[in-house]
Amino acid sequence: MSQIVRRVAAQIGFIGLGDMGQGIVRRLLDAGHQVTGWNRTAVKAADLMARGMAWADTPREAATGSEIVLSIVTDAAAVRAVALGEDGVIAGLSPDSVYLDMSTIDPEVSREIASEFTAAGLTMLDAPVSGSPVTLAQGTASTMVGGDRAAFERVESVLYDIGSKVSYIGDSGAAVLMKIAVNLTLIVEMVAFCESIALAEKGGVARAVAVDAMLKSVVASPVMGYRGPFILEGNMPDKPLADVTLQQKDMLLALEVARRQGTPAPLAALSNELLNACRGRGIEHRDFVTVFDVYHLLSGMS
Amino acid sequence: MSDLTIGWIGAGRMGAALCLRLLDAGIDLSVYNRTREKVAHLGALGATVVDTPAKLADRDLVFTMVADPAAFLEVTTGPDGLFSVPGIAPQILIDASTVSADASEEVRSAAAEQGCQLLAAPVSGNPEVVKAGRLTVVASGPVQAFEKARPYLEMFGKGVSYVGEGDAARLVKICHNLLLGIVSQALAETATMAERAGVSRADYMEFINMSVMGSTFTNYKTPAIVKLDFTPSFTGHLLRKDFELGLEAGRQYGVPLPTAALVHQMIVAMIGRGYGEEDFIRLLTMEAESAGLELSPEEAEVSDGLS
Repeated sequence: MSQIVRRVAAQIGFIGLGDMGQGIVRRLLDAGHQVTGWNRTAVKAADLMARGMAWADTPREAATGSEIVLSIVTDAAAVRAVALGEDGVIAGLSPDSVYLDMSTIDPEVSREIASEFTAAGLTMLDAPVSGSPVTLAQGTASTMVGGDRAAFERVESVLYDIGSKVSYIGDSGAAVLMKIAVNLTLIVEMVAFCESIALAEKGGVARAVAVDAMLKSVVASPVMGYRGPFILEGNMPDKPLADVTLQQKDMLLALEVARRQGTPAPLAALSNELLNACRGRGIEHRDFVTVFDVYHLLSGMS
Repeated sequence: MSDLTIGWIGAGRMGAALCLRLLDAGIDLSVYNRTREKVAHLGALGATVVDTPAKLADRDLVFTMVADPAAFLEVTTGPDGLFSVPGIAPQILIDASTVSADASEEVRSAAAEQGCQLLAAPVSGNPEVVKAGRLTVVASGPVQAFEKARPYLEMFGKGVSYVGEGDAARLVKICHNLLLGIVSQALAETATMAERAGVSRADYMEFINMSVMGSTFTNYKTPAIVKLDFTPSFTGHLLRKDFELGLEAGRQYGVPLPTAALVHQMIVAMIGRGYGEEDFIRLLTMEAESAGLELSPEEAEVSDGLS
């Protein structure tokens, strides 16, 4: 089968136009691809349609005639809903096209859905993307892919148009498992960051100085770079990159996989409880680095 | 006091032990158990043994103590269930199994249609604790139903606490089991450290049991800790399930449970190592292994504090 070559416009179907979905479609349009999009609520498509995206009435229609179909939706039930059934991707996808689900869901469910595609003579890969709308816009988002390697190689060049880092992880489900593992570190790391800043601040270092020093140190990371400054006075964005509840969804997936495998994850478990403290204090609508407020309170600074 | 007639559904080890206490108190008791032979001894002691839960419909007060939500629904709303006789039903159903919030809700409304009130009444303890008269009960549901049932609940052992309406007792029992796991992990950690420093587990537990930290629980777990006997009174799998219910409740209520969360991870590790069907006090050997300490059973004679 032919390579879907880089810098040659591909016909792409796209399902799920939330914040991440919109960011990905924008990059695909900018790279010159033809995108046909679908979303549960049409209102989110307006801006993208003005940039040239076509509208599909169902996921099936978005898949029909597309060489590549991508989806990124909230949870496993939503993936099933858009992937399977009469109006799902599975009903419109052609055998030489490839469907990639970019949602972060339970690896077991991802494998189950992929096997339905295999049974229908079709190809589905799991291709979660690590990053936020910020990293997407910078072009540095990272895509991880699980499933048939030959299919991955055929779509690889298009994934580079989404972000500069693309890795093949392994069999079906392996990439979502990896994404869950990455997000475990992301959450634990940012909770640890808040803990450190609270330690420094209570000891007399100005918070802004402490954040700056952390970001210049060896522990600085991309996520710390764009999220860390949120904890500075007046810097918490009105619209979170991911609020406590959304971020906790990933942590609960990590804890569920850990439970099933019998892999202890004590740091993940403790961080998750600090997120619960945010819920108890009624600040769960803020970006999850608001966990800093819990440390501030516990250490008697507020 | 013993003017009500009592029915009992589900007389496994725990249920049978409680039935014995009711019989000892001279109560008019009828019993249904799925495997009839297992309750023959209760029949010999004066209980009437019946073939179906439906045959308990004319009792004033009926207890259920079954293993899972499916069994609870079957014995109540099923074809030969307690509520299958039109126009005849007990005044009060007391569920001591409290296996699921959804099943409780379903049975509560089926009971209401027959004019029967549901009480939730989970218990704390095992058959040995019952025999020693040390069992405790936590109850919730309509207060007037509770007042009627109270004398019978008090026959179980040391006392009954009423905690409010609806299913509140179920959450209290989950809290109780979180505490059970947390205390067990704390015992595992401290006993391991004491032993590393040269103190036998028998000596350590003797001191703890006499101290302000000693409890019915630390006493009756002492033989298992000293002898390394992991015959299950409650398995790792069951404890994990209760921890997951507890952590989920913590998330819903916005209450951080950091200690419970860590202990849950230790239980996950224990199950991952293949000890899920053993008693949860296996946490002790997990801790010792992490410390590079090999435990062996001790010879010392120790009491479980119950006899």
